[in-house]
Amino acid sequence: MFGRKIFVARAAVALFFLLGSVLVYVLSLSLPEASFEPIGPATFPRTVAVVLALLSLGTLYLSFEKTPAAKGPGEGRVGLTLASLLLLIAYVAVMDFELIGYRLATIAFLFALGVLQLGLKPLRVAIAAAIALAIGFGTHFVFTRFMYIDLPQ
Amino acid sequence: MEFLLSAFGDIFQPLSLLFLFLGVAVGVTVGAIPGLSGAMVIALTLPLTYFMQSTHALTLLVSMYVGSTAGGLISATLMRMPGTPAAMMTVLDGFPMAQRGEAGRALGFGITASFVGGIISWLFLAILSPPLAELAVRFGPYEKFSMVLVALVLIAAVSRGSMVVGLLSGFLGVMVSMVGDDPSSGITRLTGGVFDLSAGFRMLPVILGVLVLSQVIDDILNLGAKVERVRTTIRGMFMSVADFRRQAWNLIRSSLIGTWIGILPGIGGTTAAIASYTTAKTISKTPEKFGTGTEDGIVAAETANNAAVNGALVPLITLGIPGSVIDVILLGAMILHNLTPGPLLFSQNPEIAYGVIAAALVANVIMFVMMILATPFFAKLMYVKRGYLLPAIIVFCVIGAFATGNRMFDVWVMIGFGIVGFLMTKARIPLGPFIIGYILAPIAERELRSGLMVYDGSFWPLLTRPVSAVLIALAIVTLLLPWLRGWIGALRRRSAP
Repeated sequence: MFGRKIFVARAAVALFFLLGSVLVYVLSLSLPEASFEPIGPATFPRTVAVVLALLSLGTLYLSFEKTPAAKGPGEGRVGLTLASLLLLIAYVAVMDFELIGYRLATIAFLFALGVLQLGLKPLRVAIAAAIALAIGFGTHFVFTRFMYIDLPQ
Repeated sequence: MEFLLSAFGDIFQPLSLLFLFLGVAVGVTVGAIPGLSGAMVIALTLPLTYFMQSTHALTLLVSMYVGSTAGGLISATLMRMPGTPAAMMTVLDGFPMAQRGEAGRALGFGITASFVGGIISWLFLAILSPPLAELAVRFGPYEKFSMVLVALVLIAAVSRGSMVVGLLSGFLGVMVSMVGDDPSSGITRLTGGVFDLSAGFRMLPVILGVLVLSQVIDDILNLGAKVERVRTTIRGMFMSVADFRRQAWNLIRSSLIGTWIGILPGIGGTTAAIASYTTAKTISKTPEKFGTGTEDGIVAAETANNAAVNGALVPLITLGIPGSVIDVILLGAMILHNLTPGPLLFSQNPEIAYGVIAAALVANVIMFVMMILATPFFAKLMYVKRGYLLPAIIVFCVIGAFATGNRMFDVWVMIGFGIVGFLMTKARIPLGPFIIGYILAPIAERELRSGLMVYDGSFWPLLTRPVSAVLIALAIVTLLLPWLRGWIGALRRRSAP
């Protein structure tokens, strides 16, 4: 039996890897030739890029032939997953661009994600808020004071 | 022996014991919660170990490994959902027993079997490791290259799904590892001019992304999925002498199967449990009872998957070859702590090598006592809503990736690899070979190029040196075996009347 959604995912991943291997091969062309031993810094990446390209093509071919029928992407809570990923990207972006510091960004992220995943029942919102505050302040304290990590300010 | 006794002396220091208890408790908890895995928690703990002594760090990680493997049986028995993949065979008989009201007995058999499997395989770990390391220390660069090659091929060969897909995953890991400084000449490779990539994709963000974030994304996708569970009291968890007598041969056989499969690179606890369960069923006088709730099935599966933990530690600490994904993370932990995994560990850092051996035994004992006493408590944790846990895990991933180099670039790398890992999971491409390829490839390249320098640019010693030649032959046979089997099968079918 062939699972169509798994085929789409597998084909997409194989194509992505194929492009990656082409990119690596092209980048390896600018590497210098060997000087201390016969293979040098370019041989391994070039060989791996060729093998990966062949394996990607093989995977594409096998996707048509046989893919076990099972739950594929697109089933489950896709909207929630995408929203969670966007929240994560926003959380990291605001810290990277130094718009908000770690504590505030973490509390906001944890609260928003908690509410998104658990719903708006008052008790759950309260627990999500408590977890967000505890982790936001607690991790900042522990990691900056005891582990000397300069979390984004 | 002297080193081992000294390692036990260190293990019984208060701080080491604290890490052992903490590791086992966290491991069992994570193992019991479906959707969280031992690999996940061990990867998340790695950044915390930066600030610990190497012996303490490995003690903590090894005890988490032992705890998480054993903890999987709780949800397998009570929820029909293996907490870890290695507990998948336990579901078949554990859950029917729990449904019959024998949850305590099922868990008791599972816990005791886990303990016995751990102890028997520990004996192999303690007896085999020192002489194996002594032998391996004489290996030159070509032998080391061949060993890594065998590990890479075996891992792809035994990964779920087809070998092509396993190799694809493994070679992607190899390619990712090549970005950054060339291990021999120091020339920067494949960065595309991105300055932040000059040190390559750092280990921790890649591991956290591929193993932890991808799993979290998958868990979010499946949030709210209905699970079957039994409401039962947990009591009567001790095996009687008569039970032990009945299960003695099953315990020994399953321990040996688990240890052997654990020693083989890349196979791990899941295959050990399947092989042991299948063997027990095949030679049983009542095979029809398997799958309906028999103690024999639980004992076979749980003994073997826990025996595989110590079995897999043998090639890890003696040869630097990981037996499973968790072993790869342990290998990564050693590298992060500036240790040399492999035979030199026994000569350069005997306190670490023997410390791991001692920790594996004491963690097993703590696991047994803790699980016998506190399983009803762990069973309650299993029902905690994952919506409370997943956001916190993401934050720890972000901190762990950031802590690698105090820069946000690594956090983006972690997110990128998390998404790639998730897509690979959805495409049924196994993640294990990726991680193993990523960790082992630099070692393989370094050894091969060192060999070329030692032997004046000649590849011939790869085939003329006996150990190297045997290992290369093994790699080729492993690679060709699926096709050879198919070819022989086709020939037989054709010649059949």
